[in-house]
Amino acid sequence: MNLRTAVRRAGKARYVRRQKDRSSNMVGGAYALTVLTRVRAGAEGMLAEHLARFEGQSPFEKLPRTHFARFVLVPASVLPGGPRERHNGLERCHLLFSATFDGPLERYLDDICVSGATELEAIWRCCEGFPQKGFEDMNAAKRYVRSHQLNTGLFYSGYPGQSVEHIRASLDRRKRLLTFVLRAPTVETGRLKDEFLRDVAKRATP
Amino acid sequence: MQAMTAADLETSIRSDAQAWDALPGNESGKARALLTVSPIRPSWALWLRFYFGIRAVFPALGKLLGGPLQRLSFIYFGRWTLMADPWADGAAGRGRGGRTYLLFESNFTGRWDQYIDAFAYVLGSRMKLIWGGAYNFPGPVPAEPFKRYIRDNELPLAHYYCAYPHATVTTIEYALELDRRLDLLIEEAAARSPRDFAERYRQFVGEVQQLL
Repeated sequence: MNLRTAVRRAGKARYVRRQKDRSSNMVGGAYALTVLTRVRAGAEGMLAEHLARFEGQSPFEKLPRTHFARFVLVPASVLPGGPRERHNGLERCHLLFSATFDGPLERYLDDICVSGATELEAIWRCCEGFPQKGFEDMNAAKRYVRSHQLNTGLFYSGYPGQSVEHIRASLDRRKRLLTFVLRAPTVETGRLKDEFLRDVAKRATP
Repeated sequence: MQAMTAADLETSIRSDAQAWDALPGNESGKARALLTVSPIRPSWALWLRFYFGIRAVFPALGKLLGGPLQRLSFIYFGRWTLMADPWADGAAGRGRGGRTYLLFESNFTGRWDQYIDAFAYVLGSRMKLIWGGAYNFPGPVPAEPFKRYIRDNELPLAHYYCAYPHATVTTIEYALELDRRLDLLIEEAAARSPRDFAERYRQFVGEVQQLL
């Protein structure tokens, strides 16, 4: 590969990354990621089993910047007009993954690769084209996700600009204030300030 | 657990068509998930690409839809995405030829049917800007055909995660506002004597009562 080609490719990659971070995918710091991948022939059952295991513990608990995430199996027949492609009697499926998280995308993809969320790797291994080395080859894994990403047309947030960390900390503080309000009538006036600062003022560390 | 085949999946969707509540699996604590996949006319796909593109360039236009949505205090996040026929040639969702689908994803609290009712009522004719060219779209009113349309195009989730499953959108809004006011009270506390603070604290509790 000569220098000119390398520069052109690097420029194109940078342009693609910028496009993925464009405003339609982001609202107030939250990023909407949608990824559609085709399930490998014969891997539908294994994929459903992997997904069923998430009921006990979601792999997204290891990704603390995730607000919401979902996996959906999309068989051809549920889409009107979709072809009835079959393999060993099973219909070919696509896997839809979508997540809303505190952006940017690049950082979240890094988190996915290094968080130890091997369950997610197992899921995408059931899909066509996923890199052989999985998350070990971080760049290839990230390229795979980006190349199957669908850009969001419209994105709405009920509380723009609020991170998962801040929301959780605020909810925790509200709970502590409630407990304190119920206890306050039994606290001596002279000690109320100290106890309030001790019980309510401190922010929870994630 | 026995793996779910595509046929099982389709049966579960269709047999549930009469029930007006969230599909099984589309729940995480108080959060509910909705995902619809609607086939749209080719000309409508062009319109949506134009509309979404304009919205990306001029975000202020977002008020057209986002403004009324702000009045729906039970939506965490919502989004619309265009998906090209994934069974056509090319990368999934971006193949050339074939149909185009409109994905609608929402995270909300409360009952499914109440959500759809409120959504249709608040957005009203604005919904035609989005779904107007979708095959079989009956319009937002009357409510029953619209609910049937949504249910017919809805897919159950294989996995759903919410980072704060026990909080409704209203609880989150209250907690964020309370947090802001608490910061101010704590700032004030430094300059107040214990007796002064106790008085201010009682006043504060009265002021934020509706947020608790």
